[in-house]
Amino acid sequence: MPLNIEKIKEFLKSSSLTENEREEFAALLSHENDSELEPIVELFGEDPLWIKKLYDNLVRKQQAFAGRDKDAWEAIMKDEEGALSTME
Amino acid sequence: MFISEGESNVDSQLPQAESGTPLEAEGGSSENATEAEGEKILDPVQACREEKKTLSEKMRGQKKKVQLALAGFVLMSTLGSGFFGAQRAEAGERKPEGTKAEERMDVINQQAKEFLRQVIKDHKESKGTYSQKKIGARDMMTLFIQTHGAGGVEALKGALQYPQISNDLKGPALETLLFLLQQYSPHK
Repeated sequence: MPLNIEKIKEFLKSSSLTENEREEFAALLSHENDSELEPIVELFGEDPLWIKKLYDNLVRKQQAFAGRDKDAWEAIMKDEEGALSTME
Repeated sequence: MFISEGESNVDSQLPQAESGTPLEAEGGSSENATEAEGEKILDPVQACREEKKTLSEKMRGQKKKVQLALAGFVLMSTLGSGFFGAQRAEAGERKPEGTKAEERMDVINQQAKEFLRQVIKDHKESKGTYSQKKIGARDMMTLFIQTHGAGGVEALKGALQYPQISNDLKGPALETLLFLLQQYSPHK
């Protein structure tokens, strides 16, 4: 049975991310224990648009962390809550 | 591992900060939290914990897709936080009061980066087959892990967060490293 990270790499191939973005995203996700990636595999399987959403979310968070920008972080949290509440 | 409909078990699914990873190497959250309160400076470790806690509570009882999305958002936080820790380490920042264990981990982290850079170089120059490269990588990586123990595993994971390493480590070397990290992961 393929590892979750391998399933994710397959999903990434069909995403709108550039090749570099795909490689970067897969490399970062591969840091996690494979079992922790199960919900990500499910999410990408249900709706591939989540690949781009989560990648963009990651980049925004990296930028907030790098700049230690609490306001930017709070804006991200607000957007996340908004996105989740529309799914309820 | 699946999430049941209408049941929040996001906490149990989300990645935890592990000893020695850049995420935790950022230091304890309490002192930074105090700093953040007055100066609007983001503490990545604290921020990730708060996000996990508050969003998990708000989304408790929601449908499965919401739980999956939440798990994804929180996972992105831990990944982003790890990247930030790695960036600071690359810039040469040090903790003000490093313990001996932390200093030793810094050395192993540095060795892991240099080790993977050497692996990348060797694989580019090697004319062996895919299988031969895998065997070579396995032997080298196993030796590194056995030499440094659990700290070595964490250091290799941390080293993978550097774009100049993660972008160049491909094929048999990457495949072998991921396999070994799985094999030696304490969560396994």
